[in-house]
Amino acid sequence: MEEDEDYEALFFAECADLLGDLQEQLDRIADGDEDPETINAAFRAVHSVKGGAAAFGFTDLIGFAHIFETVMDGIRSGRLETTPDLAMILVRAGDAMAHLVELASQGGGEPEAIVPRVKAELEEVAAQLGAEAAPKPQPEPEPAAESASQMGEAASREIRIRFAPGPDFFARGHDPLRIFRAARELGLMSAEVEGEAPPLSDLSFEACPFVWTLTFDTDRPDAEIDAFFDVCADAASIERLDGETPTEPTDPPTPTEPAARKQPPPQPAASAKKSGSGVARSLRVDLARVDKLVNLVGEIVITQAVLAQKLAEIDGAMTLEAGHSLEALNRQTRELQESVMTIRAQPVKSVFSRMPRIVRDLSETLGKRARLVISGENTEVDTTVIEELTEPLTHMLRNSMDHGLESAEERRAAGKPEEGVIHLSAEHRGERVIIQITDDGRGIDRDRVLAKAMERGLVGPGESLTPEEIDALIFHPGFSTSEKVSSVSGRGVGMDVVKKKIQSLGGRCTVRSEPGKGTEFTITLPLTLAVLDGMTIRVGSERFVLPLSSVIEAVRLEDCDVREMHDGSRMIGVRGAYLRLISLRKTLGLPPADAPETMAVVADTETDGHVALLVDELIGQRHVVLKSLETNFKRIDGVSGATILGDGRVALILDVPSLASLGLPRRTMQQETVH
Amino acid sequence: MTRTDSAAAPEADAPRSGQKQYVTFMVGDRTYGVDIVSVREIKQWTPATMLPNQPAYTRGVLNLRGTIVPVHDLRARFGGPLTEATDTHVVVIVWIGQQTIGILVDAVSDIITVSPDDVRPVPAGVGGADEKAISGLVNTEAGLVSLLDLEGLFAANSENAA
Repeated sequence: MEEDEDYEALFFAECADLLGDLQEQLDRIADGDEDPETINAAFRAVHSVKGGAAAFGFTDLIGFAHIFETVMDGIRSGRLETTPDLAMILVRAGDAMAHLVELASQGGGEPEAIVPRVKAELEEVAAQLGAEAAPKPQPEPEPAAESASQMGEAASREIRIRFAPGPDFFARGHDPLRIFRAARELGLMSAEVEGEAPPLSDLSFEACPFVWTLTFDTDRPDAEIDAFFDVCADAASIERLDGETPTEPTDPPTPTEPAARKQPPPQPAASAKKSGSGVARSLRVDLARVDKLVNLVGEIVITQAVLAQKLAEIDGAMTLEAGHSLEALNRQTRELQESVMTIRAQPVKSVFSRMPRIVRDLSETLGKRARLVISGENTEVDTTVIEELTEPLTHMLRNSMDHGLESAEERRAAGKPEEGVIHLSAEHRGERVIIQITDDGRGIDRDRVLAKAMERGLVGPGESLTPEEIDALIFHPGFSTSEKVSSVSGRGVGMDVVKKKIQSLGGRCTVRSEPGKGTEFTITLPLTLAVLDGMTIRVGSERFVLPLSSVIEAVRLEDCDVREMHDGSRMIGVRGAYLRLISLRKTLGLPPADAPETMAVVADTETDGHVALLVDELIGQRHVVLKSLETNFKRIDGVSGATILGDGRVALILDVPSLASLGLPRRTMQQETVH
Repeated sequence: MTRTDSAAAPEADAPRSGQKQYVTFMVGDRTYGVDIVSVREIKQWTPATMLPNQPAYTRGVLNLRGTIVPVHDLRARFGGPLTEATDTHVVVIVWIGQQTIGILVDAVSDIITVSPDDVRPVPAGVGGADEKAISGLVNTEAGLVSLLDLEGLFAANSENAA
């Protein structure tokens, strides 16, 4: 059974891909794409989901996929015309199927109302096909199926089927045991097996030497039984031993060439798969293996740096040739590192493709018309980042739908089209990825935000804030301006959660808004969590790495105005503004200095403005490989991880926001310690 | 330094059933032992990178072929002063559950084979607050060996670990 669960996990992983593709194709069809290849690809996706579902016996999903497939087939064969209405039904059907897959993966549950509704819509469409939702998974159904479905349906009767796996039966991922188990649902009574297993020495692991005769006692329509076996019809010969299908009892029991040749004419589904343009050659690899590789390469980079340093220390060792070779090695290891990192990179499409469904669901719940326009979905980001992106993006879309977009009436009154538009885009900019969510709604209501902030004591009565500062207030913990607590985005979790999440990924999150015109959220993320651009600094005898993303500038203390406050805390004046001066030495518990520090690094805490960190020396910028302290130790406040420097020593990577909160009194600590 | 699994090879010392082998090491004039199964390797001391705001006996972290490993000073852990570590000091790298840690000691002395019967319990009230630190006592020709309970000694450090 455990093995079954493994297969199930694989099925769900594949489903995620299939559903993503399906969504994309359906969207294209909805945009008026009538390319048969698009329609075929969509059909294949539905068909494959149904196939898998049948093998695992997910009844709701099978039923739905079946009717969906019937409609898709109608379109594919030209018997149905893709009207805009039908296209919308298909898109909804894609959503509903995704929902059913999700339910199945969670072990069942009551489907949402969308499922029966869309199913009814599909059934209505299928009725136009004439055949009462009869499955015609192939454009040229086998004559047997056709005539069989004309015979009476409901009578309980005995059906015998000869099931002969072809040579590539296993290679295509089928498993007779699973198929037979699932067939019990259809009334499989007995299975007789013919054929003999060859001696071990001649045993081929690929071919199945057996042929089964399956006896059903069933009242299901013939069509349903045919559809059931259709799942593996691409790799096995399936014959009805009674009724119209001619039987060939003289056939040798071994399903070698002759058996394979009896297959129905190659299915378009199968053949198109090979030539299909959308099918990229790819490999599913366990992430742990890739990570192992990433780690190894990281070590090679370090070893190489150590080697270079050691060689330089030996007199005469660094000849011209040695230098050249070392240079080449350096270049090659960098390239190796980059290539390995690209293995972990994935297009953001896998996250983006879930978003249209969220927008559709929300526009229904909120009664607002909205369209999501996606661009840059092929932008690649580290897979860990991708996994973590779904939640904040969903949240931001909800926010845009709920607070950003106006109701249809309001939009009309403002002279805007009734349908709101939300843009979701991704692009690379240098070493970072920029994701933007832009809506054409009402913009941030600054008066209300400010009033709310004052009510909550976030802003003092006398303070005057710039419009940008007011906008940024929406990221403050616990801030939610919705007048009524809606089920959509006002659940007490606000944009601060989004910001925290993005920060935990090493990114930043900003907002820009124009009243009446709309709001733009920008997320900036590092390309990867495994490598980081850092500034190496020295405090006493220890070296630390500050993420370059949080470093603003470095200043010399003698150029600045340093003030001490009544409580002993110090400030530094940088270009007219006073910043809190933090002694890294004291905060990190290092031994006191012989001489006072002469430099400070101005760093961004993301939440509480800039701070100045006292350091002894700036060593330089470098690319560092991130290592976890938690693997063998535990989380330490003020530190986000560690890295290994060129000389093989460990250096800690400092986490500016948590560092800044280390020396602070209680009030702010409470907010900051919520991780 | 030798990998411990090869050091355990001598046939004469091979444990009979029920017997266990311990790697013993010195801190000052005291001898401690840990189950050889949990010892991963023994390494010469190299300066560790300090960790902020940790107990004094946590000397910092080392780079063990790409993984970051914390090192604890056994002398300091037992209430003594910090070890003034030099090149001759060694770090015993051990596994505690899923984690790998290093223990700074003065020198590694031996591998002993012990029958369960030879392990004496620690009398109640001995060992102070660290009663859980020693799991048993073994009397050998070379003197008394205190068997360390690694979990009891150092696992508390990782209670917050993910």
